[in-house]
Amino acid sequence: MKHFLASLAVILCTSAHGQERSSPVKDVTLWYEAFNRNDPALLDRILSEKWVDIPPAPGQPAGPAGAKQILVELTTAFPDLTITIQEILQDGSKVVVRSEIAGTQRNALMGFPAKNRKMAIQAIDIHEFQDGKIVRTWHTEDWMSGLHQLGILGK
Amino acid sequence: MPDIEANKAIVRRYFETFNAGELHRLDEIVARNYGDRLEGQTAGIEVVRSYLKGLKASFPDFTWTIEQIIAEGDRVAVMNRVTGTHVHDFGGMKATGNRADFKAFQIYRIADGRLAEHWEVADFAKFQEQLGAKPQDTAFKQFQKTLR
Repeated sequence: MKHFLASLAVILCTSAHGQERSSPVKDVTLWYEAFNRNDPALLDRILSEKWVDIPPAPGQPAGPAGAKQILVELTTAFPDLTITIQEILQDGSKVVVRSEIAGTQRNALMGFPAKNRKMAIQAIDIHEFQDGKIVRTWHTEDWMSGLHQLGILGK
Repeated sequence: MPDIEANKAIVRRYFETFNAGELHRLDEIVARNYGDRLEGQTAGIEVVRSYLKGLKASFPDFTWTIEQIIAEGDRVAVMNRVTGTHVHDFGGMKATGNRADFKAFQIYRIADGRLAEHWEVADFAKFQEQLGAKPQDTAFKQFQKTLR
């Protein structure tokens, strides 16, 4: 009986620990770390070969190669690019992230020359996991505000 | 222990209420001091009520369709489609009769059975394009200004 209680305690402790963030949340943070550290190789650790970006950027290659191209374009335009996770939540195979994308435009962005202005915009992404990898990412960023802050649109 | 399904149901009811244009029912769903973090918005149930009324006045068939609903703890996230016809003037923009169809992402914080706080990022660039507005017109911001 004593033995049984001891093993029960172990099981209960284990499941309590199991309620810590499971791996999808940790994996998802690597997406943002890849951009912050300008390290496209990190993306290979978390993206499935058949990863789909919804919506893709114009001319974006399919799969992880597309994500790496976006990373290079953004970190080139904004060498000080910082994406700060403000909120993260998980429900089954999906992880939602609300973040702030900030940086100073030093090089062309989508063909618009740099005016050396700063931007800080909101973004929300939904990442879907299958077999331990991200297979789909739905996203939107407040580029309307961003292009104004950068002096690309309007005053 | 928050009830995730109950929280999702509150958000679904909010969407249905907007779609049906039954904005008098907002008090049952939205907290009095609703903290709206959508760019350009301020707090309070009356702010959101006049905002939603304004949207319906310009786009009488404005409809939010939930495509994904994801919840954890006291948070509910939604990816939704926004569709509607630009029947009446919107902010400074004359009615075009154009159809809007774009995506938006929301996160709600639920407290005491009501929507207490809200963050949103929507594809306003596409919305603007569909209304035939020039990017620098910021039709949506103009609309928000007319509500003040």
